[in-house]
Amino acid sequence: MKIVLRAHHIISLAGYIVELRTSFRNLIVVNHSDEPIKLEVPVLNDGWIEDHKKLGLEIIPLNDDDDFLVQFQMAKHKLDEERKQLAQ
Amino acid sequence: MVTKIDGATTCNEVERQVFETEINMGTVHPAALEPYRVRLFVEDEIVKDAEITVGVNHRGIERIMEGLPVEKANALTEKVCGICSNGHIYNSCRAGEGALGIEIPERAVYLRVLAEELERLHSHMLYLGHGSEVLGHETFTMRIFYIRESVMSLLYMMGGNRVQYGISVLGGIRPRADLNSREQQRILDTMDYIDEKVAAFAERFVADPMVMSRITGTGELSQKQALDLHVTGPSLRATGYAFDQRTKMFEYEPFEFDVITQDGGDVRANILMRATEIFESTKIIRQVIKGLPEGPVINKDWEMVDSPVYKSYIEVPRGVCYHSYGLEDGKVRHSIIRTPSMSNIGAMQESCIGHPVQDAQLNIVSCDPCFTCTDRAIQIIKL
Repeated sequence: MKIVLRAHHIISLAGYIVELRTSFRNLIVVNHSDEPIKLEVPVLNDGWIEDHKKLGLEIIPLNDDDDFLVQFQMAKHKLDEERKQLAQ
Repeated sequence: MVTKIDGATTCNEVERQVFETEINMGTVHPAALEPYRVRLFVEDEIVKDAEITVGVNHRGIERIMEGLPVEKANALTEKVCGICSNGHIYNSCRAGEGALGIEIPERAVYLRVLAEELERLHSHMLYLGHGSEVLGHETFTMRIFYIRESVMSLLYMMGGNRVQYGISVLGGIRPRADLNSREQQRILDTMDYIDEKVAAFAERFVADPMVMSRITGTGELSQKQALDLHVTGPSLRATGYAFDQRTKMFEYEPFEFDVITQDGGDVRANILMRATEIFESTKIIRQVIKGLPEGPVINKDWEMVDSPVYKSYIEVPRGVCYHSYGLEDGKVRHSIIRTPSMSNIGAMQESCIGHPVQDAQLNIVSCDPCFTCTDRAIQIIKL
């Protein structure tokens, strides 16, 4: 199954992860490119990260001790800055 | 063609170009109840590959839950699904109670099981109605919806609403959902009615040669494929694999029920699977009413403390539902909700492959899809 991540968008894949086969609890996925990119879900294993990095996505894996909200806001802020520069 | 998982095949975009025809459906289409996109790659009317794309209804529920007080976050989970709303708030409360070590009064445990089984009844009947509609048998659809209405009335009586019941809260159930003796008798009477009517419906359904020939052998999914694709719930049990999360839940220990299985994994097995499970649910509900303990329905004697991530699994009508979160200053962190449709969508794709294109919609529907509940990724930037 696929979901589409549009150009210059950010999503979190919390509910799309089969937690028993992966070492992370959440993934923040950022599409910095000008093209929509399809993601393969559910995320079944750690190799998913490398496979999707090759598509040009930025992927931030999160574990129990990481602060999801801080990481997400940081990634979103970075993306917002990029979007502002593109709009100029 | 490349092998994705043992027994299941998929193609990349280049390989797909060799197929004669690509049929697109959706994302919004009158034949589908929810927004999703299906791409069918067809050769000589046989589906060679299928791809389902979801993500149209991103609502970001897990993102909104992050940082909310746990009571508010629990209430929000009920909005995940319009069919198994009780299952989500039940499981979310269960995760919170596990994290905080809250003991639940026995009467509340029984009434939670009752609500969950009523929800299973109405969901399975909705499935039978939807399946009959896709088969083109509107009489069956109307008949089963008429029977389902009696369960909706019971849920309305218990929770005060037809869709969002709000029965479970941290520490037990809302006192409003407690049942007096008259209401208990009404539930027992309705169970008799359902048993009689559903049995008549099932007999009529099985005796219809047109319907049975249409659904037998259609959309077959092998047990190995189902296990590889992480399929859960009735869709897995329809392939003959006897796994029911209820057998692992402490709430169901006092009750006797059978784990129903069917052979074949086709549309027929899926439909008979749900129809038979209806009788197991009515059996459990009768046991709940018969053994309903006296006492309080909510325990308010607990303290909020910080806790690591706690995981909870329950069996909702479509399969295993997963909720987990940790608590920090009474607020939710690291929230994850996984609905059973998440993994069942893989089965929907695979059950289309190798079958005629006209069966595709029926094969998808036979896995009891709930795409909107699956769409909970985060979309922060507006279009």
